[in-house]
Amino acid sequence: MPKTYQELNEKIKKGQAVVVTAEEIIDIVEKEGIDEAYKNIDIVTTATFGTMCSSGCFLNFGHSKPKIRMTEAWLNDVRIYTGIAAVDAYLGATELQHNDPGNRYFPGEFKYGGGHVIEDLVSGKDVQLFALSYATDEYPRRELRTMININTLNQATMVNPRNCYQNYNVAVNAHKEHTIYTYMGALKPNMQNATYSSAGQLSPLLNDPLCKTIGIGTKVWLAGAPGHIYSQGTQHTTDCKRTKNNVPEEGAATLALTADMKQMDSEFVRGASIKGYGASLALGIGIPIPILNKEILKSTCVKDEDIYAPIIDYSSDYPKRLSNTIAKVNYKQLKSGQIRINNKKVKTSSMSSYPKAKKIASILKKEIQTGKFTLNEPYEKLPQNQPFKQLEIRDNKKQ
Amino acid sequence: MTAKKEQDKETKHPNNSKDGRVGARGWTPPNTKGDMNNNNNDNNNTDTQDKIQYNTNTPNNLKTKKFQLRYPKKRIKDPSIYYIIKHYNVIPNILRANITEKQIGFMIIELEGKEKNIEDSITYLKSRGIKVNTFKTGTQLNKNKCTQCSLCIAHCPTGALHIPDKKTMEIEFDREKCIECRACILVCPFGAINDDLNGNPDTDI
Repeated sequence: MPKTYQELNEKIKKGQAVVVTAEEIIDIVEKEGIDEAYKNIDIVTTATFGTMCSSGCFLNFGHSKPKIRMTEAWLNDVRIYTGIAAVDAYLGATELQHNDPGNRYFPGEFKYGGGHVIEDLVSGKDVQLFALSYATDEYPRRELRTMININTLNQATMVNPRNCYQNYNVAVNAHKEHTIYTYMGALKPNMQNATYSSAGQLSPLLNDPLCKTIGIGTKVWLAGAPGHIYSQGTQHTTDCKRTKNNVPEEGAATLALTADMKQMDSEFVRGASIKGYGASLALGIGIPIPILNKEILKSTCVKDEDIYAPIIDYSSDYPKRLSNTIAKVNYKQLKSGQIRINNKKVKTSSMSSYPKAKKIASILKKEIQTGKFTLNEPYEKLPQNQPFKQLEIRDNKKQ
Repeated sequence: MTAKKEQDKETKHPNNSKDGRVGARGWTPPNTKGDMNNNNNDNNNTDTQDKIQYNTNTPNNLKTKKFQLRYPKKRIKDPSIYYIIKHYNVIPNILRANITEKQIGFMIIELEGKEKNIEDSITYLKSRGIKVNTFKTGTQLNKNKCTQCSLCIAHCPTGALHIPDKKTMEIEFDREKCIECRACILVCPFGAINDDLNGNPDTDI
């Protein structure tokens, strides 16, 4: 008997829903078998915590007296995009602070950027707003400098174009001499270390590889606030290699998420400074998977050893957009702290935090058990057949 | 002997960094890397000791202390470490040094010897105009700031930062193994690892 969203939501409201995390379900199904587990379990919670550069927020500051139509504006000296209405702005996670030397003194440190402003806002700190304008009849003010915080803002809505990559590369540096500094951290020469970035068996889209329950309109837990998937994420693709469980072996589906920043918890919204790369934002995301049928339950039982990721050379192949894969490794090997590439021992470390993902999965589990968090049926599926386009550089023939 | 002693120390006082750390690291032969290899091979010290004969007896009255030295430009060419070895009979273990002519002089050094001798060598260094800071805590992992991402793990040369339990994947920091190399401080995206040096020690004095 397949279950429905309505039935599950009623169970949640009564406080009777049986919820387990994507880690716990593995043992339960191994012990009880699929049939028995399907009878008992209603919802599996998944989670991830990691740096997600394609994140940011829309802010509305309210009107000053006299009014201003901001044309340029900064929060703690980090530029915000004001090419929208008068006191609306978009703050991006990777925006640098004014006068940040970038990589001029290589590798740059990027100690403060958009991600840090978002963290400061969520944690309730005061942030300096500076804005300029050319002044109009109805918005006469030309300049403004004041302190704001999340409580003084009308709205602070996180709107992230790309979060929750379904799977991700394992980065190494095959260069013979130089350390390289990437968004996957510092990579030492001769493949001395490798960095991965996924929660593996806890990761939302790896537990629902064909996006059967995760779609547009699905309610998600975004850094403590209830949010939802508003669109496919940028670079979403279904054109990828898959293992026999349909689990992608490389980056594939992505999600675009939104939630109210005023309800967020600053523990799960963290500004990041990645040496030599830039500033970014680390976010915690939890997604519940309703066990509507046995197929869905089976896919949530995915284990670290079943999920493979490609090892990519970030010193040459990645920047040159060559699709070479050195080897494939699974997340169990990656989490052991050491992998073997061409018979050479390589230390591994992660950009994504497994302990935090675990914590989020259990917070979400508790919220569903106590009836605080309910499910939303997606009103549209994520694109099921979508290629990944590249940008080809071409001349303007008319000239 | 040394390895056994170290093991005893680790089990008895895992975190006794504040109080003198009597022979915490012990005396290791200079051409074995000592703690550097301990994380991979526990028997490493005993192995090398079988091959090389050193007098590894560390009397109990010897102490080990960690210092940060900052050299003024005029003292950069001074053989001050040689002087303290020669005159005060202390064993230096230079953990990190960045001494460039005309630029900076910065060193993190561990001195082992009698307490009186260590004090005397510090007094000597101070008399030569070298600034000496004692480590109160050294490198520290701020668990509130740490997101447990484990990016630092692969950069730690001694295994001081490690994941003891692969199921929880939580990071632990073993102060005794830390050699103040600062590699982790530089790679941490969240500024969760700090040392108690004032400001950036790599800049000029």
